[in-house]
Amino acid sequence: MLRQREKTVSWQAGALSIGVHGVLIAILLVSVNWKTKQVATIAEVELWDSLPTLAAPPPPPEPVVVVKEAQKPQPVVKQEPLPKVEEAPVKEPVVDIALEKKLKALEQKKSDDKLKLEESKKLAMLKQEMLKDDQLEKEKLLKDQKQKQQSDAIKRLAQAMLNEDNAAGAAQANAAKSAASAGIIDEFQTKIRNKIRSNVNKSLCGSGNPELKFEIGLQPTGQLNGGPKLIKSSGIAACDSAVERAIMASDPLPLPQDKTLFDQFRNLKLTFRPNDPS
Amino acid sequence: MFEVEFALNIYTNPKKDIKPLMYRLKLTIWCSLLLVSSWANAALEIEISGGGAQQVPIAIVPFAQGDVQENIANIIGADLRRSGMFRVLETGGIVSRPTDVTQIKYAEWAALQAQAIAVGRIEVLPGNRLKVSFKLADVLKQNQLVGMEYNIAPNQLRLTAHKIADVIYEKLTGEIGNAASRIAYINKAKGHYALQVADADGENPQTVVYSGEPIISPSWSPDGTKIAYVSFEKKKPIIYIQSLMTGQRIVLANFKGNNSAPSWSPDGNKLAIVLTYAANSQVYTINADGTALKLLTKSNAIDTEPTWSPDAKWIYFSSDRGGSPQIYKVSALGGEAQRVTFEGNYNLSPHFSPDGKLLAMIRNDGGKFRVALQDLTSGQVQLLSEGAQDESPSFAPNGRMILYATRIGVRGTLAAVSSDGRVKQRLSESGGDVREPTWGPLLN
Repeated sequence: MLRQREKTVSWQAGALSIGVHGVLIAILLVSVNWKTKQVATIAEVELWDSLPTLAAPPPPPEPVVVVKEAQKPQPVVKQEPLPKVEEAPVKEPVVDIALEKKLKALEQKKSDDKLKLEESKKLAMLKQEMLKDDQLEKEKLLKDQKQKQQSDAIKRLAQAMLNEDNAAGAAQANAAKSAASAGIIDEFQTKIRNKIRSNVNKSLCGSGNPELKFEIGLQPTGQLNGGPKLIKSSGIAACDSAVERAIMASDPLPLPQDKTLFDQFRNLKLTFRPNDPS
Repeated sequence: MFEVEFALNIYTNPKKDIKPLMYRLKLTIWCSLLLVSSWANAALEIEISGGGAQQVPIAIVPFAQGDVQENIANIIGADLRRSGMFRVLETGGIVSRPTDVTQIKYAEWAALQAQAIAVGRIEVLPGNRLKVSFKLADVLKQNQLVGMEYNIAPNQLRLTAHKIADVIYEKLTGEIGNAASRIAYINKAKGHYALQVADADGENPQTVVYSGEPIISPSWSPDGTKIAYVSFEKKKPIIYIQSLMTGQRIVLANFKGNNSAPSWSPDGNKLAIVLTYAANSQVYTINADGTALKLLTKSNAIDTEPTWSPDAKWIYFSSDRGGSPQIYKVSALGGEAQRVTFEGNYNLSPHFSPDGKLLAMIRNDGGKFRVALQDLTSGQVQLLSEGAQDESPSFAPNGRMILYATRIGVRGTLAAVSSDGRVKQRLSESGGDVREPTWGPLLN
């Protein structure tokens, strides 16, 4: 019984572990992608802001849509002449006011409705004419756009490079920040140690090698949250109260100005060895 | 704890038909959560070795004492300051003068950096009596630590102040104080010798013996009621024991030759003395009533200045048997002597700390005679005094201070040094040439 159960369990466990690993890998990838994207977008925003001359040109939504327009209607016209042509402007009415007007005019002309093919041909012709008319503009636009795209691409490349630099810089900054935080924590640990030690009267702690432990809670102001809590006594009452007085006499304790680091100092465990060399 | 219990409850709940795998998974998740939460809640640990403070900062508020002349707060403050364990704060800048704990505005005294505060008052009672009440409070915790009342005669005011100082001392240091103890010394003035007893601060001196001939080597009985000394009043050194209560005295040793250097055994039943009875100076023991004399050392040299170890097993003494004066010890029951001091070419006048761990002595330090302290466990020696002709070191009852005589010009005066060498002070001037001080036991 036991063995059978163990076998089934291990099979299930294997399956589950594979599944969980898959999920974990997926999460890992997603999170990695998400992170890199986020960093990039953040960096883009920062760059556009910092480079207003580059930010000025972009009314690119129009040409981008026009490109779609130019690409889409062409096959539509060939395959299913009438309805799609009608649909096209309906579906994308906002696209081009000039184009819409022309299509409406076409619809009015179409009111005779004699030959679908002719009309479709006319329509196609019209459309082509329109397209040809537009094409020049569009080509210009396209050229402009390509140039813009190229310049954009260059810019993006530059941006990407800058982003990479920025990302690297941000990573470095983060690393530096955490290192700085660690440094600040160290610094204030030392400051707290020195302040309390200056008040510890070791002449009340006998000639042995006593060790005491206190726990204290701090407010964000550095003031003690209630009295110190004796966790381990030195065995010498006068020594215990001398160290307790030292803690209380050190109130308020020095804390970093960076309030995000306060959590590190909210609760402190203090170990005293008064007769050890300082 | 909560997470683990919760997870285990799920695991052991038979109603919930969950596969064992799920149990394990949940348990794992809960455990990992617990681990993470324990990291998140981990308190910063700070280790603090050593200590920068040496003294307890204390404010002694002047007592409300009406027409009573002695400034009791000053006496208490001086006692605490002299102990070396306290920093007595100047209270002149504080306007309020609380005389009871309920009147203390703690913030004022905390601003003065006081950690403790003593307040009190003296009331005059009918029948020429005084009622002295005092209270000690913790400034940081803002609570009373101790309170006392004394119903006394006016001439007991100084002693009462010393007792209050000792109460404060003991409350804050955990050790007994020395303030309510007394010292004895020889004061030579105008060609006369006086054996005097004074308060530990050198004040309130009283003459016990007065003589035109030299008086030397006073020694307190362990209960503080008697003093043994050597007087030359009969033109030769004779050892007497005198009661401080009655003034009555007995001759302890008046043998042929010199009788000198009496030292009480810790139980007060015997004394070690030095006689030249047989030939050269040798150490003997004798009962406190003058009976049962017993030779203890046998040498061809000068053996003198015996002193008992606090456990009463040994008698330490000075001897030049090795060529130069050094300190030796011999069993209180007799036997072979063993050398104790090896450092330096001149060590005299041994005197034990009350706990028996330290031995104070006089050392010739390059032609200057100074108080040295030897740790009897490690053998290490520390020079404590800075005079040129310091002599007669003796420990305070709590072992924290060493009293000795030093010379300023041609006159001897009293000085004290803490046994860690940190605090040095002179005791009040008596105007005479003060020699051979010895610190007595605490008064009850």
